[in-house]
Amino acid sequence: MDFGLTEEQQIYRRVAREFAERELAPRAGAVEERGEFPWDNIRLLAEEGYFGMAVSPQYGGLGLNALTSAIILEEICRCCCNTGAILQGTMVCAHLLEKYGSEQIKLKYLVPVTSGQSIAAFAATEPQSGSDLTSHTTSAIDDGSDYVINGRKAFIGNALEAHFVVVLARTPSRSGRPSFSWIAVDRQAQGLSIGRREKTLGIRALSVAEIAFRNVRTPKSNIVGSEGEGLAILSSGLHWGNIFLMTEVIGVAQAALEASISYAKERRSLGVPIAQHQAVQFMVSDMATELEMCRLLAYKAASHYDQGLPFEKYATMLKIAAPDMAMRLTNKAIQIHGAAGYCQDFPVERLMRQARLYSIGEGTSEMHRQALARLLFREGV
Amino acid sequence: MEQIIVCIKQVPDFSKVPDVPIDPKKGTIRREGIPSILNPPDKNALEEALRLRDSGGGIVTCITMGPPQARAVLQDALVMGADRAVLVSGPALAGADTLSTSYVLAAAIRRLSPFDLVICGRETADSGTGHIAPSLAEWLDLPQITCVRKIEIHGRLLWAQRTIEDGYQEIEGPLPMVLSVTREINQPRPLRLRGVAEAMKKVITTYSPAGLGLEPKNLGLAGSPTQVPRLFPPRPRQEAQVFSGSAAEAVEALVARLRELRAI
Amino acid sequence: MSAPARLAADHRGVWVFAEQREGVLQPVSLELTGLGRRLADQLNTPLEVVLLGDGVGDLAEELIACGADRVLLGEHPLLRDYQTDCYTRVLAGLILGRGPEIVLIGSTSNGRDLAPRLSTRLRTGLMADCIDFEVDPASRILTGIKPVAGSGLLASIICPQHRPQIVTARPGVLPRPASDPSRKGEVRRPDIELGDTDARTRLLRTVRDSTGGARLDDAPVVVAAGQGVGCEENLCLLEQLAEVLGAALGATRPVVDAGWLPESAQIGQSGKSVRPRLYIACGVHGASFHTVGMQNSDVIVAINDDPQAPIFKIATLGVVGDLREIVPLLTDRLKHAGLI
Repeated sequence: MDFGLTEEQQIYRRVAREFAERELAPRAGAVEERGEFPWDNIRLLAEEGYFGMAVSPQYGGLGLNALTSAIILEEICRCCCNTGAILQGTMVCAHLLEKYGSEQIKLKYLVPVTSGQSIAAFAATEPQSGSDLTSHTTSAIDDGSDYVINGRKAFIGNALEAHFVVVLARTPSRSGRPSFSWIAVDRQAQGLSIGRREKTLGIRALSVAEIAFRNVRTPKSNIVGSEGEGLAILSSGLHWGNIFLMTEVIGVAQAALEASISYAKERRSLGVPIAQHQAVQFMVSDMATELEMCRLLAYKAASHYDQGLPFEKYATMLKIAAPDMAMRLTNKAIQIHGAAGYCQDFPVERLMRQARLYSIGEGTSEMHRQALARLLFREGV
Repeated sequence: MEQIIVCIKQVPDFSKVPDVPIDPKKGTIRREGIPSILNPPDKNALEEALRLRDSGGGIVTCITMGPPQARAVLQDALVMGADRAVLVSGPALAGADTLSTSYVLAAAIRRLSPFDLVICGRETADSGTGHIAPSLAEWLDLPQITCVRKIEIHGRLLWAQRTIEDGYQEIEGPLPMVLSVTREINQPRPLRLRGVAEAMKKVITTYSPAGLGLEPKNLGLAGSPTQVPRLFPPRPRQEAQVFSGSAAEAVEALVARLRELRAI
Repeated sequence: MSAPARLAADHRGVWVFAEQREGVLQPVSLELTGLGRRLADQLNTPLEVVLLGDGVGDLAEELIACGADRVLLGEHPLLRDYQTDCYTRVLAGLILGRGPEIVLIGSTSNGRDLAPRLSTRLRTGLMADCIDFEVDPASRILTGIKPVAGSGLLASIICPQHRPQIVTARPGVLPRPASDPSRKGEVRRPDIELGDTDARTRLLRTVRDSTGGARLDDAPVVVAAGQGVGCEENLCLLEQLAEVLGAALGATRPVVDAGWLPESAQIGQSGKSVRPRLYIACGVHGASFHTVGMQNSDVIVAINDDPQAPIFKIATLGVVGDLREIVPLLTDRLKHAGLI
């Protein structure tokens, strides 16, 4: 088992880091504070090919594997979580399209993503049910050559800027058991409306809003995968997406750790830099150790995915561990900064606010703990 | 243009680590664990070579003398668009001063002939001597122009603007030639994601000193006329007299003291 | 590069390469003549100054007044302006012919073009940008002292076996020697053999920058902007202070990188070295990269809001506070009190 990154991965990391530090980092604080979609950043990412990095060159992407893509995404989020979150939301949709979509739908929706023209949102969560899929009510009725979609999706990231939405809807069941399907819908489709933008705790430039579907027609050819495959796709797609979602919070935590180390070397109390105080030393050590543990778990999950090995368990473990780690870490980061940590002049308060999302988004930690427990009791460790 | 050779170097990233640990025995910077980058003026040198190639044809070859980890700067150069990269490496090369370094680089450059132009960054962030370009020119018996901030090529004639203390000179000379360039000369293109896949297809060749036919006595510490016997901290200075109180009071006291010292 | 056959012991004499431009002696050449005098006295050997040019014989007087025992005046039309090939050829020829043990060259743009080429041709060591020198009369080894990049430490550097020991020093680092017109010295005119084909590059023309504001190199007072200035807009506060003092504006590397001031204003390791009477560092952190370029100033004033900033370690006087408040107050105080 080679824990080293390949030369190619190291190069990608350097390139992404240089890009992020030069273009994204200087504006990151302002982007968060203004809470507006960072069009400049996103255009740059689109031009440079970041949106299609994990997509096959056949569809205009760079064809990078999950591990390399995760490394790149971490570098983006280390400098600007907002930009990374917007990127990841689109990447998940692109992944679903590439893996499960027909050639027709790939041409229609995937190619515009890789060429940097489209932003996407995936819509699974509903106002009354997040993790509890069986109580979802959004439906897609078969009407000849179209589906007609009715329902409401809530807390959808990229809702305001998405060019298309990939929606999870109930489709008619032949077996009597609930049947779900993923369907791509143009943002401009008649009957699709975006609700009020949520004012969130953090990652404020990422738009989060309800999407309402009132008799929205979409061609049946827009289905992603087969009818009834929705939950299976959700499960596998979500695991893939989780690796990247957690990579975001790892990037955020990395930024908080670096800020803490740098601050501790400069800030003095009792005649010495606080880096010489044992309390600070212990905090920084724990922060770095936990962060590395989560990063390794992320690398393992991605690496297993790339090798075609079962990876879901590791992705789930990662989804459980990383958000809590990031909350502990960013919390300590603020403490190390003292009063300054509570002020917006320093990055750590926004890093903690940003980190808070990750035990909730794309499946709560509780849901994942349940899922992991089921797996463990079924299969052993 | 057939070939432009760019000499590049991996240096510590002083912007990230302002105070670098020193190896007291060798008097050199202790590099392990310190983030390293491509020497910024070398990026300008590479950028200029790429521009000349983009408009005039030929290939750009980057060369560096360094330990194996110096491959990273060659990779970055390939991502930027260089066509080929050469690493000259070997344990015997360690500790070389600029005479020995330029001697080795010249031998490698000769191996890469024919070429039209050798471009170096004006100086390195770590040693900052600016010796390499003139030394290389001497070993290669070629004309040189240092501190160049603008280049034009007309056939086999190179025209350059050379920065001097209070202005610039316009100088011309025949190719092949050795140049050192300043940071004013251009804005280096960024490393781009799409450049990586291209770079991975390109070759990094390694030359060893033995492979170049170089004698050990001319290499590394052994081949360096200059030595650094010791390092020491500067003489402690008298503590500064710091004026306190309100801003107005402090300024008042400062002006008074400056008067006393006859500084104003 | 094993030591050449001729023993180090056979080399005698301290040389200075004096640089002239358009018939004007460069100040660093006089500074080095002063140093050369001291070294020559310690080594009990003559100090010879090499001056190349065309019709520059009148400059020899000043070199002798500053300490030269002998001026080697190499004159030829092709030496009128500095040209790499001709100057290297002539100087190398003179050195090989006469065997000095030490050669001092000013680290000007031309000096930095010449010295490495020359030392390579002679297969000898070059100790560049030294800020101080010591010589051991017994071993006749010259030790150069130079700062080690980014560490705040100094290194001693020697060239124990190879000869000559070639050394460069930056302008403004060494003190200017006293000029004694009564000093006696000799002027020799060695034969210079140069042909048109010797010069491979051609100087077409020289263009001077329009001088707006006091020149940094010679300015008696310098006001320096560091990163703490914060933004380009705040520079005007320093410009006003500089105007009242008749000072030149200098900058640290981060300020130049940010584009607030041009590269010609940069002071430090990869910029200029200055030794003004008064140096006022505003918002300058004091990293060694910068301080190596100004630490020999007579009086250094540091204005910074961080009492732990390293600049206070080398400053003579300091004020801890917001420069946006302090600098205008200082400007005002100086304006109204009138300057001596």
